[in-house]
Amino acid sequence: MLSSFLPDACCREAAAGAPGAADPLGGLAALAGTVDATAAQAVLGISLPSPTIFAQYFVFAVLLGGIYGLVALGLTMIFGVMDVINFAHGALMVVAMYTVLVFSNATGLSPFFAIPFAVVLLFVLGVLIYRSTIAPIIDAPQENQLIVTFGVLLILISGVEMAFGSDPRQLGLELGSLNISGVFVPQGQLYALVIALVALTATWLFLQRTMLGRAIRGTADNRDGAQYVGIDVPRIDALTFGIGAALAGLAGGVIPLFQSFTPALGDQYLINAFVVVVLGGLGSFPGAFVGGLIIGFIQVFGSAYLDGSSYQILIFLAFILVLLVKPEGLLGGSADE
Amino acid sequence: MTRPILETEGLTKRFGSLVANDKLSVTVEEDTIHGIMGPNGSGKSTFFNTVTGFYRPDGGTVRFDGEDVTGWKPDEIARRGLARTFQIPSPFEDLTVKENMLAVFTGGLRSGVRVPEEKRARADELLELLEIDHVADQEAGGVSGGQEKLLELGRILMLEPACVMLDEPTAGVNPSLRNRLLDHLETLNDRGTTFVIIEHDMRVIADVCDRVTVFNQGQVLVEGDFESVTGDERVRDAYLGGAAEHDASLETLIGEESTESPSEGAAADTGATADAEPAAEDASTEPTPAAGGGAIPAGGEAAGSAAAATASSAASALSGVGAEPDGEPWLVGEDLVSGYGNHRVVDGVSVESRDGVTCVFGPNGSGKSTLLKTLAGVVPAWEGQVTHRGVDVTGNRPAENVHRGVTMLPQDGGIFGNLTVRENLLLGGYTVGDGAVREERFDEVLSSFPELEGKLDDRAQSLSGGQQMMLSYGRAMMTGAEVYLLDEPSSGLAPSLIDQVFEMTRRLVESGAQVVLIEQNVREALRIADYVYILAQGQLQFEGTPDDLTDEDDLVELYLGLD
Repeated sequence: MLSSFLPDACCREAAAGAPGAADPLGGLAALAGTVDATAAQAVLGISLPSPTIFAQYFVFAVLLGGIYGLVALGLTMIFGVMDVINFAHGALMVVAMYTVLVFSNATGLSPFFAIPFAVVLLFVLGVLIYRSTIAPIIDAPQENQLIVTFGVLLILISGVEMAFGSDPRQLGLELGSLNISGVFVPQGQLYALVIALVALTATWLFLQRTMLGRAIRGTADNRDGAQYVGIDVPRIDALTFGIGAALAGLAGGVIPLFQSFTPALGDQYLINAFVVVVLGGLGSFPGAFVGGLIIGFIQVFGSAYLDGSSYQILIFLAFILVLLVKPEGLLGGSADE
Repeated sequence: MTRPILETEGLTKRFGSLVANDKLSVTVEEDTIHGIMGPNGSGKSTFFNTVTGFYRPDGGTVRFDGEDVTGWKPDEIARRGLARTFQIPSPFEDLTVKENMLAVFTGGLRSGVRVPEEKRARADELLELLEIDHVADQEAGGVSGGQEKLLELGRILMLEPACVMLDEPTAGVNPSLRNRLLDHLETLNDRGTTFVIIEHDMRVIADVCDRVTVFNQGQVLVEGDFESVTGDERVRDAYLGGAAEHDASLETLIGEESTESPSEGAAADTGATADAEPAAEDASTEPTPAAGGGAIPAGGEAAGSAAAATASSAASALSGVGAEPDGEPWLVGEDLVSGYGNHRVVDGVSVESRDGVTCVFGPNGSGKSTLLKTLAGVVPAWEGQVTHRGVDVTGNRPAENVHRGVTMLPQDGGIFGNLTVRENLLLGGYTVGDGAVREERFDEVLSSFPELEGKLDDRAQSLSGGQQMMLSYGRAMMTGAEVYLLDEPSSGLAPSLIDQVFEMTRRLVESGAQVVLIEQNVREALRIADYVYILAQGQLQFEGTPDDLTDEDDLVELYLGLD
């Protein structure tokens, strides 16, 4: 299944020359590309990169990995609790991206105010999607749920395309970069990473410290057992789907901070997010971040040192290797810890 | 007439360290109907699978019709004339009933492309014989459960087998269809087909079987005709639970003794079990007369309610709903009917929770668990009504019932394996709004189960079986329920822990709760029972106090559903 996505992913890399172009994932990959170009001039003829260049790649890798982790977080949460693979996750991100765009344009406020709005909106949307599509078939085989979420994806994406067209959009936000002793740290990505880390911590604390969070983890662990202690499992499911959608909203909401976007962008993130989730372990929170970082590093260093988009091959090689050696994922387990 | 058609010798099958079949030597005579019975997990289905080639035996031989077929492949054995059915019929759902019959490969791949006329004729004949010819052109996926069973039988008969092994042919089949099925079996048997059947329904065994082999723990326990087998004390031990040695603490705790005495006609076999109980008998202050036998509690009810009265104030935090035994049944199920799919498991049963421990007994597949799940709201009731304290809770989800004070302990304990012990207990108090009450109850539970205290931050799945059971009890107590529905809490535990289970059950009663307990080990459970229901084939066979069950022969007959 994944292989069918590969050409798509490769095309995007091929287009990743011009920054600000419509290419999906363009922001980071393109930035890496430009830096690569300047770096290549600077270190022309030298095979090993200077420490500065290496540090630059490292920063990009961490920034990109953090975003992947954030995207994977909501996906892994819904899977961990409900065993539902949510194909609409990327579409929910897209809805959030355009929400941020519309909100910022309409109010003239900074996009940073739009992001919380998008998160709340996506939570509500998530609960509605759960109640109308997933809840009636929660006991059906997993592929039924997968197909339903795929249907939701098509509806959402088509809706966004009808409303906004498929031309690339951007916020027109010039955040610039920090220059720390020669290493560029693009502020957009930096904010995104900080938001991702805050979201991870907050979600983790919520799951570990609150009764509701424990109930979610208990339901993830033993759905039958949960109902015997009085946990209303369908409500927990609705809540979980809502939180998962809200996390998708957060991920989608931060992406306009550093790149332009199209309705198709969500799918491209989703493909890598699936790899991240499986790599880190289905349902594992830290696994999502570890997996995200791995993919981030492979993508940044791979596109810097390998020809064309060979790094994509590397991503899936790592993926297959993990599946062979540790099929449950690096930090496989359930949604707790 | 006495030629053996199927013989196994020393047949052994292991799964890891578990010996599912332990040197089984069974002989099936030609032209008989041979019944195989035994409690759950005694190796019956494994025996079928090993004989028919689905499992490779780890030792021993299978001889069929004079030929050694050990290690043959299932399809070879089937074509050789030894056919079988499975517990769950699996027709080709998109083919019609008749096509299902014709799809049988009588000659392996050499069956060829064209379906021969005689094969069609045989299919028609069998469909008619089994009285499913009227659905011959319907898709097999659409016929009823009973018709599926008949089709399954018909399909293997296409092989013209000399011997057919049927795995629970009447499970989930309504009585009229069951009788039809048995008639067909006898007709076919008269025409020369040998049958080996695994059956839980004792009436079936009694009606049609010429000989019966009883398995227990992978070994042949007894072989003989039905009467001699059911009269055998070893068989009763296997089904009702042997009176194993247990420490005297429980007896002292609940102030009763358990006498084990030989019932008429089986004196020799009970010697061992009677000897196992001298301590209990000595400690007893009020020995019951030995006549009639059975582990019937004498002072159980009085002692139980006295203890409950004293304990109800002491353990106030646990009886969170403020329950006081008042002699009223709190949870009442009336004329309940429920099941799964089109499979009716509980068939018009009325039960009540009473002060103390209400026990539900019954053989495997009699609908005990389903009844309990119906009461708890886990399985919806098709008919009938469940009321709690006079309020109709029939349509309630289990979570709503927990809020009302009705908690079920599922058979596997239902604990959260990946969560810590502390989190498990805290989640038990999920429905408790008041944090202080939850804390107080948490401490109460820990003082009840001090063993858990040092494990609070361990994952629940790292606990031993006994500790996990404690945790599931403790977690259930955290809900502060006034009615506990316990589904075989002792299953899968070492015999030495069974006393502990009963002690904890008793503790729930002492906290002021009413307990409904399902238990396989009837003799042991009778020691703490205040009221008894016996189920068989989804229907109530008996209800009353343990004192009404004075004669163990009656108990056996009720238990086995012999009316």
